[in-house]
Amino acid sequence: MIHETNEFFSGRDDALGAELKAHFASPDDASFAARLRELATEAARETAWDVLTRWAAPGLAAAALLIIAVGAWLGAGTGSDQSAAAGQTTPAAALVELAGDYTAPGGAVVLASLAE
Amino acid sequence: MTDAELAGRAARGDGEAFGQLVERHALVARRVARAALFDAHDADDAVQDATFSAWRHLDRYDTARPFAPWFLRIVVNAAADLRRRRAVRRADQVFEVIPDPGPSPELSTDRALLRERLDVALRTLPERHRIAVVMHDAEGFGHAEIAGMLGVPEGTIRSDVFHARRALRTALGASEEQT
Repeated sequence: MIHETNEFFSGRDDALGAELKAHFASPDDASFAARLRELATEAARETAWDVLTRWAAPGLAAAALLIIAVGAWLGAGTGSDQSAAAGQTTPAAALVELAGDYTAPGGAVVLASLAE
Repeated sequence: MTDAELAGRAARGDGEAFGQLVERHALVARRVARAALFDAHDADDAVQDATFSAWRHLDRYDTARPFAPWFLRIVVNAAADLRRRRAVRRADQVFEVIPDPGPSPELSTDRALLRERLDVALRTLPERHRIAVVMHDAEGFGHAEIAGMLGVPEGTIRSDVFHARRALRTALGASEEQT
């Protein structure tokens, strides 16, 4: 082993290095390297389309929920409009009503204007 | 084929090239992760996490530079992330019972005793010292390269390696004296 006396020594201690390498080595090193290669190759095969596909299911579910929520909200809004409008008379109905009332002085005026 | 050529192919989407490149550096990565984490399973998980991360960020790799330091930097970061996650999980446990394995049958041999002493000495070292001495003496990286990988000044790595060696030699020397 090399015994340097200060921190500025740049050489390697090969004997210590060999001990460390052996210490952190494992009998299954070769199979680990092969497994990692397989894993890396698989990871790399995953294209942008695969990512899109993976996200498609939750994305579609979220979109469906959004559509249902918006539909429900709009439906509720339209329903309240109808109920509010039920008590009011539309312009066309008012005109028919006015025209049908021959006793009303304005009715003849309205019919005359329509005939012109 | 060189690392740069494989990395270039990998950057263009060649999965086989990326697999080959990672396989070349798998064992160095495994040893460095083990030095950092001192747990074989966690170390393998960290290397796998680093592999996924390396693929995701391959566009950031400069093919003009060596692949190993870039990949090992990711491995060291993955090991640190994993340790943080494990620490949170273990902190949730009130008691952690660590069974005493007792003396190994291998201890009858001098070699096993030496390894046992080295193991104890490594465990007492700060993590960065362990990583630095393994990267330098076992894997052959220079101080400046290690400094770049760990994101600390070169002088700090020189100091780490120096102190780690001294502690490890003392442990190994004590073993030699006893045998």
